[in-house]
Amino acid sequence: MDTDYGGFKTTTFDSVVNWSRKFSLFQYPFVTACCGMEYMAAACSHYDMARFGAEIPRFSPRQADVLWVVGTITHKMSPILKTIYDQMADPKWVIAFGACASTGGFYQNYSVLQGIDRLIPVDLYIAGCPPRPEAVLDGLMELQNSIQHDGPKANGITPTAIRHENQKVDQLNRYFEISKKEVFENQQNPRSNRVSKPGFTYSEDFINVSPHIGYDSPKMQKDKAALKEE
Amino acid sequence: MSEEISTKETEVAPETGELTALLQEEFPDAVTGFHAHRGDETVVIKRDALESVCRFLRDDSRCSFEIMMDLTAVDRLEMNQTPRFEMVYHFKSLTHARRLRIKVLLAEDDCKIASIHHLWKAVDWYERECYDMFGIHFEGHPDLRRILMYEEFEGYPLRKDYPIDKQQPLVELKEVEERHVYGRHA
Repeated sequence: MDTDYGGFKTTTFDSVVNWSRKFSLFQYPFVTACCGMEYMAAACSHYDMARFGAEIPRFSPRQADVLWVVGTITHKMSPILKTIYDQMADPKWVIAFGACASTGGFYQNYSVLQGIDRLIPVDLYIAGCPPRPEAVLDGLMELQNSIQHDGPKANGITPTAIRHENQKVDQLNRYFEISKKEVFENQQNPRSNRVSKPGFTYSEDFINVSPHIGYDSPKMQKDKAALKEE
Repeated sequence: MSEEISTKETEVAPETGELTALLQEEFPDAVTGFHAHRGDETVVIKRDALESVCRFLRDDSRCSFEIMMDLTAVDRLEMNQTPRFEMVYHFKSLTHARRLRIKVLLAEDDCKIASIHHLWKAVDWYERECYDMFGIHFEGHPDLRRILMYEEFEGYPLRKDYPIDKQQPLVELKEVEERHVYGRHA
């Protein structure tokens, strides 16, 4: 039986092989800095990476599938990282764990490599400084997802990304909706005298505020200022 | 008349410590400056006298500074002060429970200073770090080479005229579109 991924045909055999690969990831934790603490936390019993099949860290690149680059990589370390990556056998994946491995992070100076993707191809970036163990596990699941569906994705976006987007939208809606009942009956704080303040209007609808979230880049600031002048 | 309570420090004579007095007594022409604050003394000495002053500080029973705590340098380029480099040595005495700071000023074109590794073995790596980061040459050091940076690195990164984010990669990196101006306040 074939499964069709938008023109690409993969067989059941492929999906079985991918299934077995994703649930038996042998990791090489290339740990250099503070992110290592969170890696250890994710690997230990409380947050347990073993239940995803990614149990044992193999400290030899010949025996590993996934290269977890955890922590700051300096230029002094970069030839070593390249050697380790080259020694690994196919199939291999690379996880850039933390801000320093993804983009150089906190350090923009003469000694830190600004992101390991300038050196080796990266399959997954886990953002954080350091990322929480939950984020690590989420990233691991995302990697497993991409290992399973190693053909082109449906709609060009992974199912996990869709799920994240939906969660974020739910959060925002929940936070900024003030239900009519709460506003007028002051359920949040019965001692508040909000009802008696002047200028308070009666409204039938939900009060929905859409905030400006985030930080304006210098380019955005300039555009906004230009818009205001007009 | 009531006393005025002022938040400014009351005017007293500048503090002079015992160690400063001792050094001025033993090495009258070496001490070029000093200051002290609440028991912490700093003495500025001439470069040529460093070795003899340090030997005196270690061996004399009135000082007996057994521990060499720290050695670092200050680049005063942006403070517009000459001489450019200021070496800072920190010593600690266990028998007298005291600390001392020694400063030596070095000019930019002549940044050489005597190594004191034969007095305290601990300065070995401190001197290598100063050489690596500032380019200050320590005469008599047994193995003066870079310690934090790699040998192929050109320049001295902690000098104020080295652009802080200028990178010198060891392996060939992938092409990344980068229109970055190197240096601070870029």
